[in-house]
Amino acid sequence: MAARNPESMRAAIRLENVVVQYPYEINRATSLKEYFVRRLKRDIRTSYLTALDRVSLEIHPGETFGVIGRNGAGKSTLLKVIARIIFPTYGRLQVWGNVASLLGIGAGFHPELSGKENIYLYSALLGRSQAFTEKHMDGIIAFAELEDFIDSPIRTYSTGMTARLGFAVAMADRPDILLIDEVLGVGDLQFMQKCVARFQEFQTQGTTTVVVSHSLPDIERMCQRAIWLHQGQTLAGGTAAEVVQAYSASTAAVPDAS
Amino acid sequence: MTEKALQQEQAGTRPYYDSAAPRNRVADELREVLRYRDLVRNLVRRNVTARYKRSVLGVFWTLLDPLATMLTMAVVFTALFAKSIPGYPVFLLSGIVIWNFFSQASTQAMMDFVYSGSLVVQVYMPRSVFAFSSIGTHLVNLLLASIPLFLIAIFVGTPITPALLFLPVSLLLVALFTLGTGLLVSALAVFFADMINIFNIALQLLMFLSGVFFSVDAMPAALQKIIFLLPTYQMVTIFRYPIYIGQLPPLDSLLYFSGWTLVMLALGLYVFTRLSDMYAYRV
Repeated sequence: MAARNPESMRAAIRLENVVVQYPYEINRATSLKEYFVRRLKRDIRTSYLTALDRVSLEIHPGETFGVIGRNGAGKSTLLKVIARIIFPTYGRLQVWGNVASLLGIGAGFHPELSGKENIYLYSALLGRSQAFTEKHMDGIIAFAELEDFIDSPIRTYSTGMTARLGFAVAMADRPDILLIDEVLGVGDLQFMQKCVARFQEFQTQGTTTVVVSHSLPDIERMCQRAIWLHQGQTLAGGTAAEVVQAYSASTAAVPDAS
Repeated sequence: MTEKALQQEQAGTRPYYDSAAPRNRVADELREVLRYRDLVRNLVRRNVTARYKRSVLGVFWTLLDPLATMLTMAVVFTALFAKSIPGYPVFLLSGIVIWNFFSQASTQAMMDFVYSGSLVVQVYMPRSVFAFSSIGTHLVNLLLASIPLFLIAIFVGTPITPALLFLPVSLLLVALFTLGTGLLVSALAVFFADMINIFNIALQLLMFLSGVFFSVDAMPAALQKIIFLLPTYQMVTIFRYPIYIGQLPPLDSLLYFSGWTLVMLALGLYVFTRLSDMYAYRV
């Protein structure tokens, strides 16, 4: 837990010229034999899809930072780089603080295990200790509003119940940095409001938040600053209002089919 | 540490994570697995309990399943080999128990990783937790399968000797050897789906060559020489000796297998971590 003094920190997240290239072979060899035959013939062509193209940005501690752009612009890739799921092909990522992401909420849930067993499993997947989870178990169950079903296997849960369970686990601990990818639409209105209240609580305690969303009003309301990604490049950056305005102006000219 | 990094640390702003920091991939991976040890523990629990969740007998199947297989094999093979190998059921079962550990743990390490799909793409965790947890899972299964094994040993009248105290050492070596193998095949299987089938066939072939079912004494001398070189044959030997013969394993088997364990572990860790930046694109 080094370096947690916000006074002396200039950034919570810094990206310098980050490039992410997804390799894809046009004629990918799917078997060993094919691979060696092609290798001998020198017939392996690898192409790269550049998902992020020299993105540089600095997100300040405690700030809520928005990322907008069309589908395939590289927004999710950006979050995955910050979450350390993808290692940048070039460039440098620096992160001050522990990162929690609301990507893939409930990934790793096992349908045959009970709600409680899945809380332990998912919480451990997020890097928390068994002791932490035990301590927060009651709070998690209460937040998910699943007191009556917590010992039933989650294959019997509805989609909403499963999502609530995932959120409750993910939000049990205040992270230094929180990554949100278009997930606020899950669950009913009441539960959503509870999540938003929890986010705000985190933020007042100093959590830095990065939000990816297609909802421009949400970005404008929640974020202080934002960037607009287009085909992996930063088209605009600045205050959320400015960036949203620039983005809406462009989409008004060229209607977004998606 | 570079001067700049030093300055930053003194200013209290050393990053939690820096992609440009020098990486020691193997050490980083092992440190992260240690940090995620509770995840490994939870995955082991999931693997052991979830499998039989819907059955009436539940976890008892982990005990009954190998028992049934062992008894079937014992009946069939005893009829074939009983005359040439005294105390044959114990010879056979000790071989099957350790072989199943090796083949099932390494296979599951590979399958769990290849089919972890959404997990590896959506959540950060040290990728080798799947290999570690499948070793843990099958160590639990091995302990459970040992209960019928020792009951049968007592029933058949195999002497119980202090040599059994050596078994944890044998097991540790086998577990590390299996971990190395599991990591290696996991990494390769991500890039070549064929690896899954190739490894399966290799395991079947190795099982027959590793003296699980019959003593290699019955084989032609030339073949014996090759078999002695197989690490899996020595693996079976160092586990079987304390149980079946009631003596410490031969020193040359032990040293030879230890050498293989080191090589496989180093190779598995090296290849797995070397390729790990690519998994998020491939799995």
